[in-house]
This record gives sequence, C-alpha cells and structure tokens, in this order.
Amino acid sequence: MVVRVASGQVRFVLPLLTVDARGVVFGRDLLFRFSTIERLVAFFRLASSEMGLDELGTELRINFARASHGTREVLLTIEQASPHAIDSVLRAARAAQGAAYTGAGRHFVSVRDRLSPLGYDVESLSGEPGDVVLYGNEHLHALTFEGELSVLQLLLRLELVRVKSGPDSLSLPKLPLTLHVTVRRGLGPALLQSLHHAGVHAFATVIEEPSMHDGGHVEPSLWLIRIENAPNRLWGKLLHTPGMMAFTQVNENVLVATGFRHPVHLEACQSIFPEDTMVLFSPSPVSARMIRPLPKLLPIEDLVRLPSMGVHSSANVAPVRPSSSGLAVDLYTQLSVIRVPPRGDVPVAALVPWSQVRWLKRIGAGLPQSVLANYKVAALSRGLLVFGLQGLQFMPFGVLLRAAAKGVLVPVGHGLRPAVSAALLEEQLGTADGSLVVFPSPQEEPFRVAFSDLVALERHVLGELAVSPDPSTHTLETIEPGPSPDIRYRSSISMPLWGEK
Amino acid sequence: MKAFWSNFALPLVAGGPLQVSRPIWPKTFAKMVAQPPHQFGASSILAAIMKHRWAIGRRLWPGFGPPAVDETTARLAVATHNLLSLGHPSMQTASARVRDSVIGFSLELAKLGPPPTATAALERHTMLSRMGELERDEHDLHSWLGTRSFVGGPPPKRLTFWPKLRKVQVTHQKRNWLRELGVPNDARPLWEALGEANPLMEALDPSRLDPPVSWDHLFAVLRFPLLARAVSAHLVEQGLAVVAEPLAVALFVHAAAKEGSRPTATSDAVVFGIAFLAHMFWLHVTTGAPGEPGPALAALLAAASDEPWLVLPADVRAAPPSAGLTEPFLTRVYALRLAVRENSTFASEAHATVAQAKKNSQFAVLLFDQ
Repeated sequence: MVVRVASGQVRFVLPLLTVDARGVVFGRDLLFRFSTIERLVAFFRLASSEMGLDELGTELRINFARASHGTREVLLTIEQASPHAIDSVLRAARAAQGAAYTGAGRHFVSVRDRLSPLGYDVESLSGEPGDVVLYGNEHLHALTFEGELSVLQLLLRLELVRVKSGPDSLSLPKLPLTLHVTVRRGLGPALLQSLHHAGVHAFATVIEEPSMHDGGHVEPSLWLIRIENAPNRLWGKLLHTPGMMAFTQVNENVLVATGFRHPVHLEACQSIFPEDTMVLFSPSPVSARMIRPLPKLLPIEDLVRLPSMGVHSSANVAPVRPSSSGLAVDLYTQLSVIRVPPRGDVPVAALVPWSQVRWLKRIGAGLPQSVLANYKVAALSRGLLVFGLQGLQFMPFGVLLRAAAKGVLVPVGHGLRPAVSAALLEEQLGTADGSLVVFPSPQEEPFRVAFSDLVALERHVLGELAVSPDPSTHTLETIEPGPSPDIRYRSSISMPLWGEK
Repeated sequence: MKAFWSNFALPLVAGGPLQVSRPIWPKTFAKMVAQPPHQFGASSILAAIMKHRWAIGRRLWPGFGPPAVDETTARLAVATHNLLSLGHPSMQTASARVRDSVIGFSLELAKLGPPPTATAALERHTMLSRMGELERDEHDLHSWLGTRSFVGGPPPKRLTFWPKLRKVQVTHQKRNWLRELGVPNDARPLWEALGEANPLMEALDPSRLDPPVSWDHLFAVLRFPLLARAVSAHLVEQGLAVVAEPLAVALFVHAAAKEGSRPTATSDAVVFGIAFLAHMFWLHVTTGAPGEPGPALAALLAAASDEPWLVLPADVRAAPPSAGLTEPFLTRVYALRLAVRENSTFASEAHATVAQAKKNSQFAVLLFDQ
C-alpha cells in the first residue's frame, strides 16, 4: 500500500521518483486510468483547450487493459511529462473522472492529493503479474494490456459535431477568409470556370486515391480547391451544392468541414498529425481522409479552359511609324474583341439601352448630386453611355464596360486581341483628348464618342432624356441657375389705389 | 400686368433684378387671372418662366414635366410680391389699416393648403424655390449733411454730385432677405400660409430657424415617395450632421404629441419619420459620404436598430445579401448602438419615439413603391 511522503524526504521505494522545488514527488511518467473511452475523449478535449498536446510530454500512448479483478480500463500514458503542464493536465483528468498516477516502468502510484500534499510512495513493490501495477490509497491494481491505440487513430475515429450557432455555424451567410472545397470530379472544371469568371483568387488540384474496384489503379477522385477571400455571395453555392464539401482550416494541414467542429480542439494537436499529410475531417457517415503527400495546389488560371475566339471587329489601328532605317512600311492590324477570364475588372461605364433609361432616371433622382457629379453621359442612338470618372456604382444594368486603356472601353469579361499595350492603344486610337472608343460587343462595330458629347450627369439632364430612341432629340445641355434674385424697389410708390378693394 | 410677369415673376425664378412696386389689389389680380396671357403680350415671358421653372423642377425630379402658368401660379406670385412690397420704405410709413388690408388679401391668395399631388407640390415649389436666395441692396450715403440709408436701390444721383466738395461716401452691402432681414412681424401669417402651400421649401431647408421644422408640414410632401427620395438625396448633399439633427429633434417632439390630437399625430407618421431618417443615413452610408450622424439621429437609429422593419424599407430588406444594400448600413447602425450611451442626451426621447412607432408594426415603408 501507499505511504505519505514527508517533507524533506529524498529516498523512495518506488523507482524514478524525484522531488521538485516545492518538495512534491513526481515520477518520470504520468498515467491516467479511465473507465470508458468517452472519458478519455473528454480528457483530451479539456486538455487541448488549455495547451497543445505536444506540451504534455514526449509521447502519448493509449492502452486498453484488463484488471486482475476483470474490469476493462483505458490507460493513457504520458512519457516524460512536462512539469509545467502537470497541474493543468491533472485538473483535466479530474474533470473527466480519470484517476492519475505517477511513476515509471510498470509501477505507478497515485499523485498527490489533499490527504498527502507532497505525494505518495509505496511501502514495498508488488510482485503481482501484469504489465502495469497501480498503487492507490485503498487499492492495488495489476493490469494486463489487451490492445493499443495511437492518439492519431483516436482523433480520426471521432465524429464531427454540428455547430448550431455563432460565427462558425452555417446560419450566417459569411465565408471565412480561406476556404477549402472538395468537389466531385465531374463538377470540378465547371466550378473552376465559375470561380475564375467571378474573379476569385483560388488554387486547386486533383486528389487521387486508390480505386478498390480497379485493381489498385490510381485515378482522379476529387478536386481540392483553396479559395482566398471568397466573396460572401458564393456562400450558398459553395456550402449547399450537392457534390461539394467546404472545409475550414483549423491547423496547418488539418481541415474540418465548415459548420462542424471536432470534439477535440485540433488546433492543439499539431504534433499529432504527420507533417507530410493533409487530413480532411468530414461529417458522418464520411470518414476522415488522409492525403499523403501534401497536395500541391495550382492557380486556377492555369487550370481553366482557354477562352474561345470571338468574331472579329474591324477597328483598324493606324499604321505604325516608319522604322529608323527610313523604310516606310504600312502595317495594319485588326482589333478583335474576345472573351477573356475576368480578373477583378472594375466597370467604368455602362451602355444603357433606351428601354432601361427610366431605371437610370429613378436611381438618379434618389442619389445626391455629389454622387451624380462623378458621371458623364452621352446620348447615342443605341442608348445612353454612362461613364464614371471614379468607376461605376449604383447602376447595375446595361452593358458594363471596362477600360482596356485610357478611353478604350470593352465589355467586362472581354479583351482586345492582339494584346497591344495600353499606351499604344491610347495613342493609336486617339483617346488622349478625352474621347471614348467603345467596343460594345464582339459582333458589333466600335464607335467613338467625342469629349464634347459627354455632359455632366445631373438630374435635369436625366429629365431631358426620352425613353424612346430618337437621336435627333438627344441634345443634352446643362442649364446653370441664374444669379440670386435681387430686390429692387421702385424709387417712389405713389399709392393712388390704396383704398381700392 | 406684363410688367409684373417680366419684372417680378421671371426674376423670381430666373434670378436677377426683381422689381417690387406697390401691392397688387384684388381688382388687378382678377383681371390678371381672367385675361389670357397672349392678350397682354406676355406669352414669351410666360414661356421663359415655364422654362426656368421646369429646369428647377428637373433638378429635383428628372421626370418633372413643363409646369403650367395657372391661377395657382398667379396666386403664389402675387402673394409673394405683396409680401415683399411690405418691406418697401414707403410701406413702412403706411398706416396699419393699409398694411392689414394688403396682408389680408394676400393671405387669401396664399391659403392654398397642402399640395394634393407630387406634381402640384413640385409646381408650387418651382415658383417659390428661390425665396431663400432673395437679396436686397442697402446703401448708406455719408455726406456733410449726415447719413442716409437707401434700400432696394441706389441713392438718387443728385445726392452724389460733387463728392469731394460734399464729402460724399457711399457704402453698399447685400443682405439676404429671409435670413438677415426676416419676415415683417405683421406678415407672419402670410409667410406661414406660403410655407403650408409649398412644404417642399421647408423640407429642403430643415436647418433654418424660422419657422421651426414641423413634421406636420413635412408629411404633406414626404408622403409622396418620389419626393421623399429626392428630398433625402438633396439633404444628404448638405451634410447629414447639419440637416438630420433638426429633423430628428422635431420628430421627437412630434412623437410626444397625443395620438389623434392632430391629423398627423399617429404611429404611422412616426414610423414614416424614422424610416425617412434611416433612409437618409442609408443613403449617406451607401454613397460613402463623409461625416457622422449627430447625437439625436444616432440615438434614434440606435434605439430603432432592434427593429429592422423600422430602419430598412421592405424592398431593401428583401434584396439578396450579395446586393450589398444592407450590410454596410446595418454594420454602421450596430456600431452606433454600441457608441450611444443609455444616458446620452436624446436617449429617452429616442426610446419613446421608437416605442410610439412599434405600436404599428404593420406599416411597411418601401423605397421604390412608385
């Protein structure tokens, strides 16, 4: 049986017991005895909330053992337990209804308690058969190991718990800064194309895993996509589309399904997971998946399909300058409008058809003049060209145009080919004077709007716009209010009619 | 009559020298209304008046059509003329009986009541919109004989002859008629009747001191959604802290009135008032205008932040989150709630106003319901 350690005692019967600065006795290792695996999980949950599991000791080992009197126990051994973590880990073990022992080898004695603040020693070592002998105040257990489980295996087998409220739940349409998504093989290219079209910054790769029905042949199985700064408008698409599973990164290589959490705080379990492996925790019934080696993600710009070529628009670029040798060479090229993947292009103008001008009127009437002052408009036969000096806002209709160069407007999602520099485009198309050259679509001819045709957008200008297209009536003019009315009294008022009623 | 339209009514809307002569009496007014404009050769002048009024109206509402020069126009113009004529030096010395006669007749003309339609409100406003800009010349003539003042025109030339010999010196200044000179005391009912006939003038200038802001008058014009949106856009341009504070304080006063004591003392009206102020703040946030709301508006929005239906129009609330119409606004409103202390100056008034509004949770305000 055990005996209380006295103050100043330095020699002990139990091997490898030492005294710390306070006079408290501890062995090299710590051992915790739990009656069920659930209590062991509770212990890990509590311990991981306070510290990293790698701070507990050099190695964690879980054993299933049977006592001499027949009960089955779960033992957790922490080898070379850290002195700094002992108090926290003992507190977690007590909360999880586990019994704590200290010692080394096969002999462990109860840790200190209120009855013996400096700890316990044993009267004599027991010779009972078993892999480990536990000495308590009123008991002595000899246990025989029946099986072993690594902490990693335990973590992988636990089921995720749904987060019902709070920022990590699915109740708020808000996406984390970095989001991982696994997509079934067939859906992957479509999603990549969609993300690329939306101008989202993302990386992707294919996860391969052995197929059991093809003789161990390796084939693509899933796409893994990492999305940076995902816009919240994609919330529904990414989180609720069948075939897609969104993951939130909780550790360097550990991802947990968005809207769920692991029973153990995985942030504290960095050292448990192999460095060369990515682990995906999915909700039940899907089991956790380990991907080894770490997948190398590629920018989705390199993965999407190349855009198709559009129909040529004939916008002749003026001949290039004669070469320095003096030989004049007339070289012409045609600019074509083609679809290109948008890269976060900001629309600066809109070509609003006349049928939608009434929308512009209604929005314009409700906006302050200071906002309208940022826009210039030109009335064209095909519609109203609205040009935003500081970008286009508040007008989400019409054909949105972006600036391919200063004064050169192409539809958003389109570009000009051949891809000449912006400076050359500006020079050759002559937009330096403030005029605009608009390429309305791949099928239509470009046109030029002179600077003098652009007028400041004001409410009364909007009022002059007819809803039906008639170019002859589209004369926009800005009427400035006159000077302040100035009261002038007639010098002398004769009042011959004062009595008049 | 032609002189009246060309020398008074046209400058009243177009700006420039505004000739004010003796008051117009009922017989002259009756003749003016009965006789078609082309008969006295004023067609071109009336066309010019119409053009300027149309431009004024379109600055406020792009869909405003050409306004007609009708009897209402004539009544407002004549009443305004008579109001201004009361400041004539010759009228200062007139007897109280004469002044009362002028005011009484003009009051009859100005008592048009609240405008029945949004178009009518705009048409009336285009006639009187520049009242706040009216200026008057004032000259002080100093000579060896002393100092004399001349208002509304230069001093006679005979008094400025031989300036060196007679040591003549003239100082000149322009004074705003409404803010610096003010309405004559006896003409206050006339001024209030003009304000009631043209509530847009009050709505577009809530920071004025006289007359104080009254939601009774504001409801007469803000009940038209297109005008409410236009007015809020105009006010946001002037700065939220300047214009929203008097409106919020006036709403606290309005909400404290016993329900039913006045036609507009209802919970519907309070709901609308909160929604209008919230819309101004929404516009302020959405357009990225600089500045922060004052304490009264902040307290009101903070108190109403628990009720999204009060601070967001139903159609904006129904917009998808990706539209970005609500999130920046609600973020600012929730920030206000954290910033406003429970014991701040307007906290109790704001809570009482919101409590009054909560009595009617069925009243839905729409941003684009017209």
